[in-house]
Amino acid sequence: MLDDVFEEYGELFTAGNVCFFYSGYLSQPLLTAMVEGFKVKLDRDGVSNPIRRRLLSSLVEMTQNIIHYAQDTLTPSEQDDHQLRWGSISVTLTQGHYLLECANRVDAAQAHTLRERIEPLRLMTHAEIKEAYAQAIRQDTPDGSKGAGLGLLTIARDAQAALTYRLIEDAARPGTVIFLLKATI
Amino acid sequence: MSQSRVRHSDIEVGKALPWDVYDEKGTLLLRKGYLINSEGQVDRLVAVGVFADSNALRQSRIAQVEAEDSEPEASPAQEWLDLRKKMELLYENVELTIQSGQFISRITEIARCVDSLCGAKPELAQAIISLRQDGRYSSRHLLDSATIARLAARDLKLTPAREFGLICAALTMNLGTTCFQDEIKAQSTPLTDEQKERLHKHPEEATTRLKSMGVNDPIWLRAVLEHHEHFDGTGYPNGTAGHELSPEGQILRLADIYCARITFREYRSAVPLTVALRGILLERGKTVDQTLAAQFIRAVGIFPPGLQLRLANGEKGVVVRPGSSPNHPLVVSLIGGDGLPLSPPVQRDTHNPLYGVGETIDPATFNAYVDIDSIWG
Repeated sequence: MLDDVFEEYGELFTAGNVCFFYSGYLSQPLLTAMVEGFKVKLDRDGVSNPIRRRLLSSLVEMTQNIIHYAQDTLTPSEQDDHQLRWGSISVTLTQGHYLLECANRVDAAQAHTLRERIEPLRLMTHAEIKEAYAQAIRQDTPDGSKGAGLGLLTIARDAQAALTYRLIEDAARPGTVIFLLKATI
Repeated sequence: MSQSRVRHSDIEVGKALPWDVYDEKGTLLLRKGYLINSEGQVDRLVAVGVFADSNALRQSRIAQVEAEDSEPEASPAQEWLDLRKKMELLYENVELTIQSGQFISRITEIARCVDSLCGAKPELAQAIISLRQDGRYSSRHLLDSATIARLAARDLKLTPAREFGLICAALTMNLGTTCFQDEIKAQSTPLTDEQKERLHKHPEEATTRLKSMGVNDPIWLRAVLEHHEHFDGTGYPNGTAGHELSPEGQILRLADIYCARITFREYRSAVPLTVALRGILLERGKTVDQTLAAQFIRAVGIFPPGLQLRLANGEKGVVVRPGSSPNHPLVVSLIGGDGLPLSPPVQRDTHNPLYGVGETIDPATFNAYVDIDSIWG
């Protein structure tokens, strides 16, 4: 088994196109450290400012979502600061573009809300996303309310292609669902 | 005072902060008016997780959105990606759209966009096919095939009416079987007899459905019906051969094959563009008319825009456009000979032996960001 694990790590290590991968408990200080490291890589790679901004903004949004909403938590679920919650996040460079992917466990109600928010957003054109964002701001749509929250709208605005997502039921933990989200930049 | 989290887009470099900035515990970190002078500062603040007064933040966001309204429309690359979304949406709701009588008008609207975007930036149109393989395969493939068919048709000097019929045919060639196309695209095992039968019937099925919606353009209908017919008569559904076949149907077949081969599949990587073209070259005179195959390859280019290459000096880059001759494209180098990213990227004329074309690179192993807007925008 240990060999299998090493083999998987080895693949990740040598693939060359994995810019960043983390799976485990995430916290605000960890996010700060992640961004510091990723920033250096983007600077070294000479990524232009608009693309760099989109990447870092989406990385922060995805990680913040895990820190605030993931089901697997080490800190009490009602605690709203210094949270420590489980999730995975990765950035890969493939076929000339970046893929940002994240995964975390949510409860059935959150899964329902996520589907309701992402579905209409997924195939909106760039102009429609901008309009939906403007509308959400004018209506003062808070992140936890119905309608696409600002976090998802921000990711959709930064992404160049349709957002892709999956909600996978976990038989081992009834009532919970694994949420996966992918954005292309 | 209620507070909201500050996002990347809320802070503008070179401008004074429009609100006070606090940490998670409400401790004041930066006062309103503080000048942010680098992207690095923005990154650090947002990553740490900072907050501002909700109402003040909302006001600054509204001001920002209003200022954005006067900014230019989407970039050409974004227009292509938007068009993909429109196609995906159309085919996700295909039956409903057909029932409402809007399917054909939506297709012709998309066809006009394909024509206009191909006309404005033909190299970008080609590059985006290989460099941005996102979204649902079946609808993206139709749009990609329409793009390649349009570019080939223009090079072959087809009349505008024939060109338009061909684009519409490409956008509808798999009508009624798009879910099935997604299914077989993901399948790694050979097709079953039942799947083969369904596949062989789909050109007729699509043609029948188009006729039932009032399409009577013979170019459009014939191209859809014949897009799997072979020059030597071994194709389907009718085994029509040689010059009985319409040029539009054969152009569509070539565009269909080419786009399918350069696309990543679940069970194999996408093949480099040149390998896909070589496949067409080997088929000429057999399943494909020799003259038409040669014309198609000339139209697409021996080194098509978006192709990933290694140069003689070890640099890696992408083809931007044809150069002084078909064998010497202009390339933008993105990775230096030492394997490190080139910042900024450098344009190379492969006519110069120092930067001569080396080998094509497997798209799956090309580890550099291709900024489409900067290169082709």
